[in-house]
Amino acid sequence: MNAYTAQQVADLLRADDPQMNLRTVRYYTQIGLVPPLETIGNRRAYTDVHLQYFRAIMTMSRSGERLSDIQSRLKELPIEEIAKLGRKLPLYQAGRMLEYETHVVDDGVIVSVSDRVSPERKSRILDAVGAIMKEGEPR
Amino acid sequence: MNETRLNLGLAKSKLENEEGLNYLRIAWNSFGPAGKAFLRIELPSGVKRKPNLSGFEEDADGRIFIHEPDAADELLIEIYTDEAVPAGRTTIVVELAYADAPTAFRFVKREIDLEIAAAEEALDGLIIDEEVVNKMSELGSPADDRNLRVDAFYDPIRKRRLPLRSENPGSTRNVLIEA
Repeated sequence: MNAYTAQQVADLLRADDPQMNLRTVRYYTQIGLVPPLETIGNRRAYTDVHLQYFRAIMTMSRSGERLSDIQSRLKELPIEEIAKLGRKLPLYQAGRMLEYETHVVDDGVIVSVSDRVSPERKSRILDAVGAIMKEGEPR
Repeated sequence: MNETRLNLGLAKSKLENEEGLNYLRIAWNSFGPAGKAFLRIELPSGVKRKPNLSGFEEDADGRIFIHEPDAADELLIEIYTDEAVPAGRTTIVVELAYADAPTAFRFVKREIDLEIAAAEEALDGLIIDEEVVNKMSELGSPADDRNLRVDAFYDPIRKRRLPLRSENPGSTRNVLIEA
């Protein structure tokens, strides 16, 4: 199990969001937005689980949810779902949202394509995904 | 006329002496049709604050103006430390000044204790004021952005704030000074 200090957590999260800082990491910890710290050896430490919580909070916050709603939702979710939410964080970065164009292929698939991808290639990607979805689910 | 009261609350009883974050809630009861009313906040040395999160006008001296005392009865302020300051017990002082006659100003002063602690001691015996925390957590929604009047935010991730209404007696001291 990896153990981190609050500063290390802040540094890791800043790679995902430059606005994240040590103060916020501490505050969210103290108000119980993330699980209590683990005792490792004789000191309290953050773990990878805490990182997953923070990334999920940042994702949900970016998508417009209030902290109170985030807290309620996180309490209901298993850690796998929380980790999954956290992995979506890059999609909610302001720069990424501008850079990426999102296409709803159908109810089950949304494709995000960077503007660095040529229009021809983008069209082929969307056609290919659309064709796969039209095939239906394999039996 | 009812006595004018100020009530103060802190999200947490402690603030880290370096890179710490906390929120101060200031609530007041009605003080009548005030022509001029403003709040002044004295923070302990080394503790800083951001513009209030509730959209009240502030001037360069840090005075927070309450133009419509009946339209809102509280505000929230983010306080923080960046560089290390001495740890110890300190006090935040808030003063409300309002005119209850064309030439008469009244002053209501209130204090709240704040312990400044080293980071490794900040969790020990920490008291959380759920009401203040919840108010902060409930602040804002995307639709509120269009009403923003000041560049203020309640946490570093989202820039949101919302006018608030509520009352909290808190555990602070009230001093009425008549001018």
